[in-house]
Amino acid sequence: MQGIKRNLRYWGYTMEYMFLVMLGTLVLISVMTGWNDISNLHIVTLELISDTGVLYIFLMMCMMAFSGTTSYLPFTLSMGSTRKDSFIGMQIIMHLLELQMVVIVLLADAVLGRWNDLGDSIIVTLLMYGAIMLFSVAVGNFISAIILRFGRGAGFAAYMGLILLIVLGAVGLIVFKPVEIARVLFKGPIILIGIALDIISIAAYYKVVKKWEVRV
Amino acid sequence: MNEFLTQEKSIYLQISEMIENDILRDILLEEERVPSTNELAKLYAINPATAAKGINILVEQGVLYKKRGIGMFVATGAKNMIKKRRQEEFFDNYIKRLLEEAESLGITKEDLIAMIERER
Amino acid sequence: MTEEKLVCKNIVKTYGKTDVLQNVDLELEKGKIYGLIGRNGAGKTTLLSILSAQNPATKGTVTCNGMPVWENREALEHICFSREINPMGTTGQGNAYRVKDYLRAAAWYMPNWDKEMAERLVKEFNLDTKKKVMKLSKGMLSMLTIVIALASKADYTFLDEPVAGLDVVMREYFYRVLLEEFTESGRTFVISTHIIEEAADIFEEVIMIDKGKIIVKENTQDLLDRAVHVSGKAEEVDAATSGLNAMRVEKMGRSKGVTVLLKEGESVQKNADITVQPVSLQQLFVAMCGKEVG
Repeated sequence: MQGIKRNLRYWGYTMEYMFLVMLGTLVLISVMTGWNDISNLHIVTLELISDTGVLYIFLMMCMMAFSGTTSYLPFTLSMGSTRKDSFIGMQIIMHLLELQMVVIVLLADAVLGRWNDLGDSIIVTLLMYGAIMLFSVAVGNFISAIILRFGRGAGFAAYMGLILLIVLGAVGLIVFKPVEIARVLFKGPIILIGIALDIISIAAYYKVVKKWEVRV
Repeated sequence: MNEFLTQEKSIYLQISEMIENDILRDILLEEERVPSTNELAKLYAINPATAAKGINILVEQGVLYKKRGIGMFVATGAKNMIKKRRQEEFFDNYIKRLLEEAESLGITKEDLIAMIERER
Repeated sequence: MTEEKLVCKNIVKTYGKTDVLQNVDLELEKGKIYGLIGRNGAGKTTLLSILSAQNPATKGTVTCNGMPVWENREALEHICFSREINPMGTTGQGNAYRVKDYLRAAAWYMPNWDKEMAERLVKEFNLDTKKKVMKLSKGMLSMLTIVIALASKADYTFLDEPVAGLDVVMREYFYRVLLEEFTESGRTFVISTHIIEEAADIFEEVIMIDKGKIIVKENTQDLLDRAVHVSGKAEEVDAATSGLNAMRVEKMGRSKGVTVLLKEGESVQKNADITVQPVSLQQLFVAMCGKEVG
């Protein structure tokens, strides 16, 4: 437990810092684009969060996976942490941060009144966001595993490929508001797929971490 | 104390010799405490075990003795002990080398004695 | 009661087709300063990272006070391997990290972390805690590694080339600080270094590693007592050293010089025609692991 506690503290502190920086960037973007309409700035910001939130969730997870794996994980090992403790700490924090982002997006949606249109589909929407959250962590883990196993280059390539996919998807998302997509995509099982992917990704990542070598 | 260590001889031998020199020079008096191995280690930037080795040589010879809980002390009569031992070793340490060097240079014993007479 | 030691048995480490470490057996006792010397690529860093369970061995076991170290948090709390910090990547923490963040993280991970000592050393080393690790000079990175190693208060502390990048004044300061900490705490230190002669005096035992094998593990003074350099007329030198292991043979005209590591009971026949000198640790190392020129 002690070992995990230390890692929770470290990963929590480090990743949360990254998270806030990224969130701050998002806010900054909206401030800069909506400067002409100062009175409505908060609305603009919330809209940005709501619209690009899903995209952001994915991007954020990939970036954290990248620096987490290449910098922070070796650092914890050099400080004497076991691979198991580091890994568990990292996974817990990553999941929590994803949850944090999802909650923020949902809150933005709530403030903007986007929940009002949903009606019965509230559960569906929540499940969908849950699934997205799990997908993101899974993607992050897969990319991390690729980085450890095949090097940063391969990880970067995977990351780029994913960004491409996301950008294409984001275009689609901005055109169709998430609510519509929720109706289209409605399948309760999507959350189960998310959970399954998450678990597989964790297993894959851990398998690679166990035997990975720290090299300066 | 405070001499630089050289490469010519084992460190621990230099340590014991330095302490002996200090005893001869009255820098360390009989029944006085000698620096501890840790103090010596810090002074000369050497491992305490090495300093201990040097001190142990002197303990074995009876030049130093240990007072439990306090440290190492110079034994009474240490100065004379050291002088006597060095006198005995004088031949091996100095004369022998002198004779060898003289022989390789072709200097005879008579030449040597003449040189010494001149100096004295 | 299990003995307090860090023991590795039969360690083999293979990268691809090469055995980087071959059948390494070591026993590190509590309360000693060991020097680990070897050429670049001999396996020093690999060995240290395996002893500290940061990397797995291909074969063999490492135990600390009887407990296996691999993935064992309790055992690892006794060990600290302060590696060379690479500011660009792996252990360097990426862009954002500053010295103070580094130290704070170390305090979180190391149960015996001595905050006061860390602060004192940082001050003595003139390290700017607000500076980003990425922007530190080589010397400052070394100093940071040293602070972490010393303040960790770990029973077995390993330093991999801690003085790389330090000027001579700082190096001497490091040796003194190390000795001071050693005499007070009795921790075990293993120091790998290329600057052999300076550090030789502080090593109680020296471990020499060559091409993945341990070729020497002995009390430094005892080892040096056994080493001599014999020089003079070639025939005389050969006669005096016949049957002995002569290394690093140098010739110039009729003169010849050899370095010899005597085994138990062996000695060199002294006579007027040869010079027999003591050998420094560095000279011995080069004689044993050096490269022949020409």
